[in-house]
Amino acid sequence: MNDMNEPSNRDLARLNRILEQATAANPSAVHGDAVGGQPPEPVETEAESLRETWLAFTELVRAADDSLPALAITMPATTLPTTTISTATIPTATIPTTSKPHAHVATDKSPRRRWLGLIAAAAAMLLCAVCFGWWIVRDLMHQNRQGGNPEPAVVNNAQPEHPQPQTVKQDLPNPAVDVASKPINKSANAATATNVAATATTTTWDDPLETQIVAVSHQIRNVEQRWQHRTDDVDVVQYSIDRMSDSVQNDEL
Amino acid sequence: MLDDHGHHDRFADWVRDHGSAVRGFLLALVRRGDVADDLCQEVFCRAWQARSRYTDQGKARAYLLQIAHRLVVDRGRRNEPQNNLNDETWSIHEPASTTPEPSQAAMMSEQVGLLHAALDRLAPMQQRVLLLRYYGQMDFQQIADTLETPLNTALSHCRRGLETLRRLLVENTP
Repeated sequence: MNDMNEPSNRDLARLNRILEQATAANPSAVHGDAVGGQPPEPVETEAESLRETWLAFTELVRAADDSLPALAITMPATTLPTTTISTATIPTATIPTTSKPHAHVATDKSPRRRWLGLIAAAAAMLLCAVCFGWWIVRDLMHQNRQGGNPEPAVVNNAQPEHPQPQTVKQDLPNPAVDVASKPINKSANAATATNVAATATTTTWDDPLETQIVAVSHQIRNVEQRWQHRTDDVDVVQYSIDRMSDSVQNDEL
Repeated sequence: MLDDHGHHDRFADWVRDHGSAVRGFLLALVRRGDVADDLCQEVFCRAWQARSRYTDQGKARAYLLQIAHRLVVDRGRRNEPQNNLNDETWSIHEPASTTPEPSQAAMMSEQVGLLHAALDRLAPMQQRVLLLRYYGQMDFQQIADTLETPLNTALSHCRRGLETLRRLLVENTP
């Protein structure tokens, strides 16, 4: 392997030497310098031929370069700060740029602030909704509590709506006897009902239980008396109608 | 370690000593005076930006030409779609090569035209090897490193390029 590479390396070194001589800038390198009084080595034919071509090429390149205008190279701008401006002046020159980082930071945090604002607004709305809901629930509970109390007014309204005619009829006296024997004392009944109602309406939530029971019983009696009073009126009419019917049947009229 | 003043002086020396070589190298490769000037400016800008990392070994021109070569390669990659166009479309995208502008026409002398005509006969790698050898005065190992090719490849490009130029410049046979 080394034997195969050795000739190629020799050829490479020879070619390198020929081309170095042919393309040398110093003409003495081509013809070789006298070393130690020895005559210079003869220049190879190939190197001489290449040298001739190289000289023609360099003359052409030199003539082209000479025809070009003068070169104008502008000094890079980076030389100005390092040569003409001292580092002490740099902070004063860069003071206006300090506003940029502030603006940059603000733009970076603005989305976060916007989210915080939205979250705060949502929390405030939620708090308002909770308060409003609690107020409504509290109001409904208060209404329910008021509706559940046995108020006298409610008793007065409820019981006449659902009368029991049989029970009332049992309590009714005989119309013929009642109408004839004792007249209906409407004014007395009305006065009693008014008194009871006044007593019942004067009771409050903090009255003793006995007082409230008495008031309720008065209310019940008042209602019964008012119902009886109404039925008495009906019975008078009915009695008159019955008498007229009997008279017609007996040909008394 | 140079201070700012030392960097400034060295940069001025580079422009004075190597500016023409860098521009000639670029012009021979891109064939447009305005592009070559812009790239030349960019070369020195990059050299200035990397001034603190540069260690002076007496090869400033080679260093600048390496930067120039990278810029040309980058420009070629950016314009790669144009390289795939046909000749007619190419002349539209690269009008300076056939119909130079007045300012360029004044700059492009007959010698420049002859040089470009000669370089057109060479392959791109052959052009770069010969131009780096002439302008950069590099040895072939440095050229191979700059072009990122093996040494024998760089030598072969140089040899074949010179043989092609001999037929054109010496023997005057197309």
